[in-house]
Amino acid sequence: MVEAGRSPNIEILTNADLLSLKGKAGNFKADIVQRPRYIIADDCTACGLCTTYCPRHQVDDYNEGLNITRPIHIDYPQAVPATYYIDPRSCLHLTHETCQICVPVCQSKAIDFSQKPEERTLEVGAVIMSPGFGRIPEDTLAKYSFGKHPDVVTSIEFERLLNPSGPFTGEVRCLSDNRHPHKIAFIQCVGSRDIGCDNGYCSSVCCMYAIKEAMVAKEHDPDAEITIYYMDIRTQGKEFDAAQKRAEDKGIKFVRAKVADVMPWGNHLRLTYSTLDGTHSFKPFDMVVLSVGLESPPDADKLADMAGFKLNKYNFCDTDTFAPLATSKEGIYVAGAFNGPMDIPESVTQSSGAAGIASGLIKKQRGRGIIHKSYPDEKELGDEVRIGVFVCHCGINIGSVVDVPDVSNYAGDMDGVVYYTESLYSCSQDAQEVLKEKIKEHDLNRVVIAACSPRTHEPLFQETLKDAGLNRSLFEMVNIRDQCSWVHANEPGAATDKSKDLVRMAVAKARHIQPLPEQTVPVNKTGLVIGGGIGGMTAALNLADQGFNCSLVEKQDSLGGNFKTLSHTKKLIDLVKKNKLVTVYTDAQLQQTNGFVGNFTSIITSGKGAKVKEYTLDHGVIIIATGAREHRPETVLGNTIKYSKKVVTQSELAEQLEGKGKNRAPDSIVMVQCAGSRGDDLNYCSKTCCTTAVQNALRVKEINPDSQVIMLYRDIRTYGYAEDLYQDARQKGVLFIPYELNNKPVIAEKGSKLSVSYFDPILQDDVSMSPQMVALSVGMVPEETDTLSKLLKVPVTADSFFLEAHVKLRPVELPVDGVYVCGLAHSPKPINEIIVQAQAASAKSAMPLVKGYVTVDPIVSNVDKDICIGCKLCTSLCPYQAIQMVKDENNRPKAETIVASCKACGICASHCPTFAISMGGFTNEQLNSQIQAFGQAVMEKETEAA
Amino acid sequence: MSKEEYNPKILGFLCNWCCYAAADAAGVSRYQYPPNLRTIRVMCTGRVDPAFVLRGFVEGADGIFTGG
Amino acid sequence: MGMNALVFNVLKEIGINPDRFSLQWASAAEAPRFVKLITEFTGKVKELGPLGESEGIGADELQTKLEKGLAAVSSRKVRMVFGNTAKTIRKEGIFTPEYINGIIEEKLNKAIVGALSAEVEEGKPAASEKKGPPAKQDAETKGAQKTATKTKPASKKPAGKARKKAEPAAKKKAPTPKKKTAAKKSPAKKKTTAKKK
Repeated sequence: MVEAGRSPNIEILTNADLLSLKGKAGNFKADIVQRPRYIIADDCTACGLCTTYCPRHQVDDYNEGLNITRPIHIDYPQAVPATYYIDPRSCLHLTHETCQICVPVCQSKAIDFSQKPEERTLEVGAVIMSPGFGRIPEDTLAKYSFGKHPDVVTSIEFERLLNPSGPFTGEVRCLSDNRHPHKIAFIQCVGSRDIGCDNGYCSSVCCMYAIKEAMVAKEHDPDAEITIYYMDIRTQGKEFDAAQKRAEDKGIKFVRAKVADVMPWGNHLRLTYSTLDGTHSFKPFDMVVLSVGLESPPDADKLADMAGFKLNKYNFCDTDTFAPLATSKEGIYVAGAFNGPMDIPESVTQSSGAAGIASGLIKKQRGRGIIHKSYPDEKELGDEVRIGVFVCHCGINIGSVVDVPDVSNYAGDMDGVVYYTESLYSCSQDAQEVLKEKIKEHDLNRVVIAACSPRTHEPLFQETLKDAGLNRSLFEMVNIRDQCSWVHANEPGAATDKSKDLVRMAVAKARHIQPLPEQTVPVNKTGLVIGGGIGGMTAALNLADQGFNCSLVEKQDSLGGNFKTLSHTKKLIDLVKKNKLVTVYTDAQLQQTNGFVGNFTSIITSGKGAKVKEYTLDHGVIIIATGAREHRPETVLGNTIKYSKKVVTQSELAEQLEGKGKNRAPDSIVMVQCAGSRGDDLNYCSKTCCTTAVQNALRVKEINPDSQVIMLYRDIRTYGYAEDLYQDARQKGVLFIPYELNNKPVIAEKGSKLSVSYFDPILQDDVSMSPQMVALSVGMVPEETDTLSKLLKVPVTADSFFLEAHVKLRPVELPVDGVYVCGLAHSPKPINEIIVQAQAASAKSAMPLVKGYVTVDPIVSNVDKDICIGCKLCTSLCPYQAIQMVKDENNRPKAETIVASCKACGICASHCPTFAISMGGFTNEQLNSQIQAFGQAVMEKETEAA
Repeated sequence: MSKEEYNPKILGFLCNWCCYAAADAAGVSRYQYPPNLRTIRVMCTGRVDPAFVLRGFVEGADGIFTGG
Repeated sequence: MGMNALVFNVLKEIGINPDRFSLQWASAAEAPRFVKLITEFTGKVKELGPLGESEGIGADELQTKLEKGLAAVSSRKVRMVFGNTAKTIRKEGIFTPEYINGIIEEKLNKAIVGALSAEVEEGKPAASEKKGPPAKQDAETKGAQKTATKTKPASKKPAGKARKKAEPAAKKKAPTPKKKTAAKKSPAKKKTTAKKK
């Protein structure tokens, strides 16, 4: 969010509505209206003074109405833009033309009641729709006493309760009487999988978020008794099953049951539920959490009408399996929950993918209208250290607690300080001009600003330094607001002492600051895609669409991977072959890769037998799309399996039903889910098997309506719209029977006959039968990720899938810069998700290619080769493979930082046996002098005391 | 010096992405805590060399807090 | 990784209460947790009193011990073992505190005790290689009593080039501690043995 806020090429229009959207792909006109926030965003310093003076109360919508705020407020501290706004619905001035107390209170004069709605017309080439999701209507929640009893809350409200910035600062309390709830129940599938409210689909995310909330609640109170009532636990995502297991281990109870109702019961709530065996029970709880599903956004109809794209029957955006990010109107794309309920990683992946396709569409315009800032040349620094210290009052935020003049004078006495001053708001626009002037006037070559947090304001001041011809590294910030005046408001003396100490420590560090060069590394504008299945081909074609050459390396003798028979795959193969920018290598293997983002060199072999040829490819990025294959376990749930015409996997069954069995389907078939998955042989859920099995079951029923189809399952995971198929299958008479791990089905072959026996929890009895066929849902295993992981030095999970850099924020990037992953090599998933991921990976990988260079933050590590003893500790400890060994002129091994890959964590520096490694901006010298300056305070105090 | 008057000198190494950010957030929410901490910001706790900690004690710290 | 275990170990060896050092985690969103941690830690240190007080170590001795501790963690030998242990931990992929503390104790304790007792000579130069100049510079500006204790080891240190020669000599010394170090070492040693009992 902050990143988007800072980019000079992203304009953020908050408080804005779309009025109309006209035109066609490449040439849209969008009319928007921006509602006034009554605060001049650029002037607001987010000090929060106005909120404390505002006399009117208002329900805090951000905290789900569980809290009270004021009409003038900011939703949460990290909001972007970090600017307050006035809610016109409750502001006394805007409703009754009175008050205006906030106007004189605001020291930076940012409040402007004269603001009016502003209409604008934007000309754009492509549009991405991401309006998110809507709320489940409250009448659906009413049967659980929501609205009748305050301790029945939605999961969204419960999240606020758990959150440190929530209404009870992170404590979970009953809304009825503020007590800590001891017994908490979660009810799953509220407003999803519910024909009653026309939401037949599964919202996909609720099981996982309920588990997460339950775990956090358990952390808050380890004695809490938490029960989750569910129909099927749908933790089909990557590593999600493991999370559920952890929850169970922590004592969270999972009960497969339908909750009939929740009623107030004295101080408590009474929850009535029925289990599979038909018995009804009830239990008392202190709090009941409704795991509400994701509804389509409230203005979906309006958006669709305005832009001219179609919605599906649930009012979400209508998309195609093979073009999952495209709406029915060309040039308009969709990302996130509006494309159907999905979790954060999937939404982030979709948004990358959509941005990539959109930028491919408008690539002819690339580079136009982009803002590039230019700066004066950096001036030469003399030997003399000339430090300027600026101490900020921040209105009264700092000045009312810390004695700012005292701190400023104190700084003036320090070595190397040639100029010191106070300022009211050092971050204001005019203060930047003053800063520039003073740098010139006093020939300052180091700047120390004591104000707020470097995390928010360092970039701003560094910009000013660059404008003044100083290297941006010649800057140090002292945090005397967020970490001093605000948190020691009642101890002005101690806060002033602390400010002095911190300023002294910063000046001590500043004395040793050296300018650090801005480093950029050029990028080879080609890609390497490993794996020629649907994912790899989609990624390669997308890169080509963006105008980049790429090599596609396929292990087998032809493209297509797992889905060779699909017509879409055939279309892709055709497109790849025709595309001049894509070079295909079949029968090919990656042998070796060296280099780093922007400058990789790989050796691949291609061809069979005597015709094997070696190729050396230079490329800037790598996309891994090596996929997975069907798992064929030899034992399933303790039964030895002999695969035959009668005992098949689901994919074999599908093939049969498409091909020779087109008109023939068995009269009886037992499908066994999780055969070899979820702890049986593989530890994870393969995500797609349930849907595939249900599709096959429907196909069997279609061909042979009298066929007896029985599916033995643990949890049916037909998440999202696939839930419709599940409903359909049940209606068509497919029998779904759950089994428990302590009572597994037995599959045996007696002579020429198959026999399957299992426990039926509805009949409460063992059942034995002889089906014509058994179909096993066997899951999938990744293809040789271990070899590739070693070649590219990228990590894999315990299940041998590639481990992304950040599960939520960087779902298609690997920890090594310039290496991306998509498809089944990342985790099992259905085709539409593979395609989205491939589109996202190619979009992400195109970023360095479009830019043409990679910039390096100068805070990276650097090795003093004179001191380095070549012990290689740093190379093996670096989490980012950012240190390599090189030979010096005397042929001795020396470490060297690969600046483009370094993340500045400093592990190498702190583990170097000879202190040969230091970090830019955080050198040993700087940190040591900071520590010594800290020591001086200690001494001063001691002498004072004496 | 009695224990009431005694104000320990505490040195802190805070990670820019975690604890330093949490400390900023504490300020935004106006939480109050004892004013003894003197913070040195690092980009990651991985940067904290054991030698820094020992040097902190040499320089007279009564306690050292490292927050990732 | 293991950094805190190393620091704990050294503090223990030189007789400083390891509770004076705390390594904690709080994510960016956990402001209340940070406040709680820092309030508790301040309280804890307050309880312990000024450095040396709860340990029952006098000011001069304290300074000597700490300087030695610093020299130990700055010595190439200890750092080498530390780095290699970190590498082992990474390779094993076990990150429970029990395991890390155990392995650090096992692999590093010998090196630490060695460095503390005999390698003042060897440890110093490595430590002051980079830090020497600022230490000196700042020390000069101070000029109080404390400076005297601080500059002493710094002035003793051999210059950069001499170090290479000095090192092998120091290594030879290592196994048999000489008189001057033996005297300093004894209180620390007593402490640990007492604890073991």
